[in-house]
Amino acid sequence: MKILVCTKRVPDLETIPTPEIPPKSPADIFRDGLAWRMNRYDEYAVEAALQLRETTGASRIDALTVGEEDAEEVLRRAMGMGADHGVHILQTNDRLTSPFTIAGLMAAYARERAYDLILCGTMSEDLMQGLVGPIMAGMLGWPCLTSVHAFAQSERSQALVCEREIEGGCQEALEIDLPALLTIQSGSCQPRYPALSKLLRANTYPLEVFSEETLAPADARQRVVTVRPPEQRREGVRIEGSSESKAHQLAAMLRSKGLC
Amino acid sequence: MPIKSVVLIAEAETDGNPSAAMDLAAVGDRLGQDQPVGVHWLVVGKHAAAAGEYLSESTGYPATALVVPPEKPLTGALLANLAKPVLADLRPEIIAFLHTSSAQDCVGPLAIALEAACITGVQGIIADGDQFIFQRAVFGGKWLTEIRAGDRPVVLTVLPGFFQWEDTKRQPGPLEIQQPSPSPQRIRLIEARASDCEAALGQAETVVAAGRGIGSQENLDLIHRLAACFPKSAVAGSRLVCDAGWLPYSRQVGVTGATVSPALYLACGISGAFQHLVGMSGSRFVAAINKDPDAAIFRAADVGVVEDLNTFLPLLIEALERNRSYTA
Ligand SMILES: Cc1cc2nc3c(=O)[nH]c(=O)nc-3n(C[C@H](O)[C@H](O)[C@H](O)COP(=O)(O)OP(=O)(O)OC[C@H]3O[C@@H](n4cnc5c(N)ncnc54)[C@H](O)[C@@H]3O)c2cc1C
Repeated sequence: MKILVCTKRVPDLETIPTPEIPPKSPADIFRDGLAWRMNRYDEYAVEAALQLRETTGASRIDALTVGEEDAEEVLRRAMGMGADHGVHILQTNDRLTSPFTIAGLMAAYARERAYDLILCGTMSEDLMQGLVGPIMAGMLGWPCLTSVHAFAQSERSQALVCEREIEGGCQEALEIDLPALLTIQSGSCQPRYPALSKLLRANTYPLEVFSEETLAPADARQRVVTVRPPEQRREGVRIEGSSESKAHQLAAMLRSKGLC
Repeated sequence: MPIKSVVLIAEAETDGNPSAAMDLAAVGDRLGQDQPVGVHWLVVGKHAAAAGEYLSESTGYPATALVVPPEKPLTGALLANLAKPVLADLRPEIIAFLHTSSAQDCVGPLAIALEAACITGVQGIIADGDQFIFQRAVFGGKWLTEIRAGDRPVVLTVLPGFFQWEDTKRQPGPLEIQQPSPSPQRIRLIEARASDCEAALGQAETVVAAGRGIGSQENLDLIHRLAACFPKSAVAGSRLVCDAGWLPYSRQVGVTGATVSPALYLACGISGAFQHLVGMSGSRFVAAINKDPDAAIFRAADVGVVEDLNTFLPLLIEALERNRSYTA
């Protein structure tokens, strides 16, 4: 079985401020000085691929990313975790690139390469659209299941049985024919932490690098035109003062409202 | 101005009134506020006939019900396959789903089939000339982006709770019932299991919820001690806390966990992603503690405290205990 895992480099949410005055250009919400890492759901996707290899002897796991030079980091990390090969589609990206553009580039890479399974994270933590995987599946004409947290080979050949959690915490088991695309949700099996020696070794592996032009970019179809701070949905009164004073104010407030 | 055609797609796999779909009806009305639109229901599933009747009657929008045989449980892929021919006929400019698991499976491939744009998690709509701009949250709810879809049709998923249906008397819309016979599918539902969410969560008057900001399983002790300061309380967690194994999944609040509406929801170290908010937005009073002053949870809270949980929770517990001993 040949597996492709799609990964993305994202900024750490906690380092993103929400100033009340939005930037002129939407892409400037990705200001300088953010901390970057691999999208957490993609770490689960890499882990899922590695575990499938351990149980079924998958022949090869490739990691793919679309992004600027620095996005290479996530490929190194995926290889440090155990992926065999890294593929970087270089894109001068405004970081709000349409999911159709990203999916188009990835599908163009995957199309002639005989993968049996493509894994993506269920969404990127920054843009939270959950679209690149399903759109890519549509472009390839493959079946697609989103938010799968566990899967294994089915008794039928060329199929997987996938577990997922849906609305209200209900569980589903679904069988999907290969080739297929799954988007992976976090779950109880934590992604492995690559050993330093493996990360250092991964830094020396050659990467396959493409420029976006060579892969015939798809039409973007949609565009982020503005960004703004979200509306206040509840009052959001801030309690100020020293830590002790805040604790007393909060306790008094809850008490006055009959809540404790 | 030409009338825009809008199709609202409702799943009807379960029995009973499709009350969640009323959020979609509200989207239909919202789109019609600024320009004339023709809104049509497409209701798909085992119970599509009854659901279609309810929706066309209560909203006045015409409905097409696709009754799926019970031996073919509805999946996202089946939903897309059944919807395609109807959509090809109706040629809508806007197609809206609720933001469900099946919808998330099907909107991407459907957008490719219809050569449409696709925007998920929509929580606001603004008219822009004869077009619309769709609002959705990014960065765990810290920012809102506004997206324009150009001249193509657009497929949307709509978050629950952002569009409110206003019930006015309307002429019932016509209902057409079809019984498609689905071809074999590449995705098959093998088993569906009910939720194992803790019943205690739903009954608690105070829910103290821990997010990843609690930092470690040991620190959950603070959360339990905090909960003990309130009568009829329960401890819950965000998905990340349950993923880490710090709390069982039966204690997870959010879209893929329990929905709670206690008198008091105390969110401790929770960032405020919409998937979490969906599960607790019905709470009467929400208090949030987070060390990040820009965390999205503060916009969904009645009162907020910017503090580090490690130092603040012991102080809060002490203050609440003192509070209690006064009353006692
Ligand atoms: C399909 C799908 C379904 C999902 N379903 C759910 C669901 O049902 N329920 C759910 O909760 N999530 C769900 N999620 C995940 C959701 O998107 C968020 O990732 C999750 O809610 C974040 O959990 P969190 O707030 O605990 O963690 P984070 O987002 O990591 O936030 C931690 C917060 O703690 C704060 N913090 C850190 N340290 C401290 C400290 N010492 N003191 C005070 N504050 C601190 C940080 O500032 C931050 O705001 C789902 C996601 C997907 C894709």
